[in-house]
Amino acid sequence: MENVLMLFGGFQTVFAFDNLAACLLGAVLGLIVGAMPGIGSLAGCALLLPLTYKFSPTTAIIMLGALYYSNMYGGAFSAILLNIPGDSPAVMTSVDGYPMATKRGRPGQALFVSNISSCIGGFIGILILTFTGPALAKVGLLFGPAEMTSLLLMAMTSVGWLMGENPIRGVISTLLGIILATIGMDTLSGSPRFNFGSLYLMGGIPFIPFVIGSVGFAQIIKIMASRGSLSSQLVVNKLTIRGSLPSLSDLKRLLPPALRSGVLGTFVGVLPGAGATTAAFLGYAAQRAFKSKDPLGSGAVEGIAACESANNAAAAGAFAPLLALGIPGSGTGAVLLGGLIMWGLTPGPLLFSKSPDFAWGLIASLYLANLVALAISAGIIPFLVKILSVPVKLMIPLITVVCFVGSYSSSNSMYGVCIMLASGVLGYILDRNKYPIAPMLLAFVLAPMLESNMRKAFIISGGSVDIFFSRPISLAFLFIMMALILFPVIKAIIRALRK
Amino acid sequence: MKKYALILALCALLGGPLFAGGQQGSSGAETGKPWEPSRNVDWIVTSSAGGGSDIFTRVISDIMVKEGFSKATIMVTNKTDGGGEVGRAQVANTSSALADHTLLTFNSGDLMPMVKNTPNRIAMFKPIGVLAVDKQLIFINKTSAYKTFQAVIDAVKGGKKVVMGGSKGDDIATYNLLLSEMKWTETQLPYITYDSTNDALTAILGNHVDIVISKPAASAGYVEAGDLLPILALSTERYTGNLSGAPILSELGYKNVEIPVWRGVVGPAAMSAQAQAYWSDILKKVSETQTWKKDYLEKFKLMSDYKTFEEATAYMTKYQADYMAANGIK
Amino acid sequence: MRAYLKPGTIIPFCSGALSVFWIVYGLTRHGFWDSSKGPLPGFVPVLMAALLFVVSVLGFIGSLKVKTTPDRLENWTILLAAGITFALVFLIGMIAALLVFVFVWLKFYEKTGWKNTGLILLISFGIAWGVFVLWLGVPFPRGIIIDAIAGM
Repeated sequence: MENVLMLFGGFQTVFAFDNLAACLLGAVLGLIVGAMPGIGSLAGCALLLPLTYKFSPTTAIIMLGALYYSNMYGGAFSAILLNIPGDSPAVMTSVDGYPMATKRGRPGQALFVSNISSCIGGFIGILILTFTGPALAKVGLLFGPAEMTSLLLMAMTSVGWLMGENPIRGVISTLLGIILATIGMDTLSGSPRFNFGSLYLMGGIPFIPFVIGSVGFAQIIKIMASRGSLSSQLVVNKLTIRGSLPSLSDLKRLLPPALRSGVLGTFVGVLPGAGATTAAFLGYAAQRAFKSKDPLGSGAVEGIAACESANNAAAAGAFAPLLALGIPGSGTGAVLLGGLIMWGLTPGPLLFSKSPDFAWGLIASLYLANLVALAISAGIIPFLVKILSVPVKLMIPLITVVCFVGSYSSSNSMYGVCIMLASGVLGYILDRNKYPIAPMLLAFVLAPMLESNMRKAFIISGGSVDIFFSRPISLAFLFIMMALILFPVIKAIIRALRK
Repeated sequence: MKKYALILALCALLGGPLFAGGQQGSSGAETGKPWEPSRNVDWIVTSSAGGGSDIFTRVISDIMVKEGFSKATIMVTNKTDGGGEVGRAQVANTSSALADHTLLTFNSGDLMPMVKNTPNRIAMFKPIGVLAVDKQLIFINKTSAYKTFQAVIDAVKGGKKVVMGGSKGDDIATYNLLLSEMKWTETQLPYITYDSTNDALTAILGNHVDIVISKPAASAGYVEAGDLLPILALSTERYTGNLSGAPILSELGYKNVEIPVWRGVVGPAAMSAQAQAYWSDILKKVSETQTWKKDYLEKFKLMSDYKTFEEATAYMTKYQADYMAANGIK
Repeated sequence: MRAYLKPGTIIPFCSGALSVFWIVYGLTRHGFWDSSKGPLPGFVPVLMAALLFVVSVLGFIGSLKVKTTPDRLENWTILLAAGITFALVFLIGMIAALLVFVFVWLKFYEKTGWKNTGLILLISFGIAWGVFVLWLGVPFPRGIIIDAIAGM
């Protein structure tokens, strides 16, 4: 009950004119930043941080919080309409979002499904944050290297759900992602790996240009040959506002996955170093275990809902360790933490008790930002879908320009553009030969986390594998993993026996 | 020609008051005309926006502009490729007029990986100044089995393995020095490198490592809340305030272990002596402002330690030599 | 020999070769396992590369039967154009290079009318300059020509 009272206090703070304006501005900027490939929430917050030095800390964090949060909405726009994920959590959104927008010709509905799910997921995340904040953060602390290793192993096993009809191609794609991710600095030993003497490769392959290339630019190479005939296919039947609205059955279909992913995503967001990308992926993988009306990957409402809800929930969940313990759950969290110090606050366990106005104002602003982002995007969706009626031959140079500036901006160098072009070729060749791209991208994100946690666990245990079995949380994940592997096998055996 | 006339006019306008100040600082000013930036200044930061180096740089450039120390437009650019090595190499190789207008934020944490993993050395830069230093402490979780550093020493001597966590760069260097002073091996006190101090602090809050090495600013909140306790100051004297409880190594009968963590600024090797003196002087002015002391040093709990370009050159060169000797790099 | 190196087999062939290289390089340069420290930097890469080798062999065998249509050369024109634009960036800077690319591509390759070409040019400029430079402050390269003029 105390939390509710504090929250009301928070709402009073937010409804001051300055803060309300900051929240609105943050939400709008977040949507734009999110929709621009290459500039994710991390860069968005970092670039706008200096702007906020002039504000009071509460106003400043409300603006950045709203920006961070609505960014998750914006990332889905370009993923659904152009098949270019605006930022990394949106990789999963493009898997079902783009087919739904193009093949099924329902771009407006895809965007609405994505935004409504984001709102639901975010709402669940913020609710959990409001009532369990500090306690939730403590649960995150229980996850050490051994627990994270087992969790990620389990997650990697479920990559299998993504592989489509030919598992060998899926496995090759996954392993390629892992191999490419090993290039660069090895944190634990502090020495470079597989960089072949190149200063550039010492920092590894940057993820954002890699995604823009292997998904977005590959797409451009692919549609080059068929651009004459494709333009008719891309023309959407009804580009009116009413034609963009989701039907009642869409809403019915999105609700269960959005609710499940909301809870799951919040939890993943709390874990140290996991973040929204992992959450979106796990949400999507979990959906495989449930029924979807259309097969996942072919433009299913359930697929979009599962990952979009999870990534927004994770964004909210990540605030729990940030506010309660001063621990940033992601790169963006670290920037916000830097901001806290600049504004003269001490982040850490005392923030809630020392600056309640600030902490609760931020939480209250998340509720508001969630609604504001939904309202704004609902207003612009009917206009956004018009992008799809632009002839493909005009879109080709335009998307190429976006790929260039987006990949350059991720690290302010032409190296990013270079990686973008190279991974464009790789992505095109893979796609042409029916190799799935998503497992490669996810393995690229998850494998380094898995490796570093596993090696940390081994340093703690002195090279013994007991550490993974002697800790209950870790053991539980290993059990689930075994079940995931054995379940299809057992099912197949039973089916064979019945015959 | 037009450009030259413009520069001359500018010099005439602004040169007067700066002339006196610039003269003392510049050792090799032959023409007697103090050097002034004649174009936009590129200031490279080799870590991502929002990080420690980035904040350091942006605070300084803000003060420069606000207090009118430099009329040039300063453009801060984050170059993170290759873990920062690409940006550093680019600055090192900048030549001609651009060299006088290129600055690089350079910390002890940048020097170490550069020396370890690349052939680049401090001699490829012109040091401009050092502005702040920081030191480290060792912390335990409040629920830890070891309550003092003496208990850690006894445990290691008794054959127990104590796991230490920390960040990259500076922390590893301090860890290695501590190992050699205590005559321990990496098996007795294994070290886990985290991506950032925050990650290491997360690990100790969850009791996943036994002890952790951290700078005072990052751990301040946890010490205040009583979640973490300082058990050893890696310094030549005790800290004050709520960190005063931590003894230094000499109190336990060992030599003190201290590796200062410094934040500085360098330019390309091709930077002229005049430009070097000019920038060094501006950094001095920045370090004397109230904004710098209040908004930066105090907030991040750093010690002010301004060094001129001559002092900084000697300091960074010696630091590099010490580091190379300690790690067997030739 | 030609029959084996068709588009369908190229991926397992390349990934197999890559994995062999990774195993050798990883084992010789980065180390595999240390008895007290556990896995070394080469551990995960080598293990994964070994796995990749196995699936690549399986994939190669499987792909021999698959028939694929040959590549249309037209697909690669955009890559060629992007490559030229990439080189042009160093000469005349990012924004100018991109605008030249959009103009030449639409006007001479696609033979688009002036109205549409102008519109796309305007939108490209709006995104690249308006959003990325003006608002987000991304320092795009200016190209050696402008750098030379400014650096005089």
